Amino acid sequence: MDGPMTTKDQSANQATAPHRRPIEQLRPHGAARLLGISLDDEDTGESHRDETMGELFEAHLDRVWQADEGLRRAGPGLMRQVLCRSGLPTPPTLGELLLDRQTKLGTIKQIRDRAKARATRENSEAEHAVMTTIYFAAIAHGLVHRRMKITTHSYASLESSFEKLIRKPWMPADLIELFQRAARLCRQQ
Amino acid sequence: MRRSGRTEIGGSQSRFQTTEWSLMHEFGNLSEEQRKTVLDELLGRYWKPVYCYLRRKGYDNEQAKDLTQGFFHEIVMGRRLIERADQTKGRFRTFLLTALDRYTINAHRHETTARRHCSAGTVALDDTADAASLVARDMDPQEAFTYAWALDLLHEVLSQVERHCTEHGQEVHWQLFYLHVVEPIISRRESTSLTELCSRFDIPGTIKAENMIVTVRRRFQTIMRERVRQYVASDEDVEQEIRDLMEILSR
Repeated sequence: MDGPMTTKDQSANQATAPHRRPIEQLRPHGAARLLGISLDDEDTGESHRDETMGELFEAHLDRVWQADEGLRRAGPGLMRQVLCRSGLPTPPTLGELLLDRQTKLGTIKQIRDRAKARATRENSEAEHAVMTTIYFAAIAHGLVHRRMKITTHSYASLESSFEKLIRKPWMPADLIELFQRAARLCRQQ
Repeated sequence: MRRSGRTEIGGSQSRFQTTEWSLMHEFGNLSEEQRKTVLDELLGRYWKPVYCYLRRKGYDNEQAKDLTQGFFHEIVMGRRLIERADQTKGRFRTFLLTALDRYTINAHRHETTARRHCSAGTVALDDTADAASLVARDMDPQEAFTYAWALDLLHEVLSQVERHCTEHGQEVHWQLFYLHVVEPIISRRESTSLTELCSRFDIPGTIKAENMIVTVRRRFQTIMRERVRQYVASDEDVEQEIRDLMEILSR
């Protein structure tokens, strides 16, 4: 090729010198996820929103959970900042509650109810998807940590929903594990 | 292990994509040399799952390799197994696993047979399966077989997807797909952000990058389904076979 390399040429050259991890490092659950790609209907273009979805979902999980709606209206993270500055213990975030096996069942049911209500109200597709995920995460928590089905959905239907959520590229690893455990429990029913 | 290429049954002028069932059923019409080619083809494709199964059954590395060679020799050369191989009854993976179960029941007899025949195969069994069998050490033999089967399937499909991208001037497409989708799953780490990838590969925006990834994802889906179709009974079985593999691997 004549002349100095352009950035594009450099990019292409970088692309032709791949560093590949051996497939033998793939764990069984990872293999299941890769196989799941062949079943996804993501060629509708849904995948182009993965990064946005990931950021939106993380923002919700990082919010402080409060039964009192008034405090929530103060803005996400604001109360935590205030409490941190004052040296008081900070309340858990939504994400922490969903992943903590010690979270009270009553709190999990509140999360479930609020997520369900928000999901039906949301006009934004992305927000609807986030609320639906939180809804199912609460149900998964009930199954895994309390061995209780806190929904009228059948086990088969729940398993299918959990499997779909597991395959979402923007799903955090901790929640994937929760959904996987919940799906296994559903299969055993 | 050196994988043999597609089997040229019927001579060099008639190269065609064979299915596992057609390999088995054409066997009676083949010459001695062609039979050996079929043996190498099947061994090349499926030795790792069989090896992992045997390791989980308690055989050491060398015993498992000998038995693997012996098993395929019996599958291909042994008339009984071929006559029992009925495509309409299900998937080749299931047939192979059932045959392997029966084979290990008489392990001592097969060990003796394997020592006689272990030099018959021309495919050298390397040690890469040991990495997979280490991961599978907490699985039962059938799960270990399925895990190794899935690894081989994914390796083959990903390699084919990469080759396709390269042949069609889509190396950057492949890199995006690999770094954003595949590598995070293998390494169990966070995905490289599209913003960073756009900067690295000089792509004008994340929407463009997303579309490039979708292109490769579609190719992955097509190739995966084509590969699975080769060892199931019908088109309708493809999706169920993939789901079954996922279900076993998610345990």
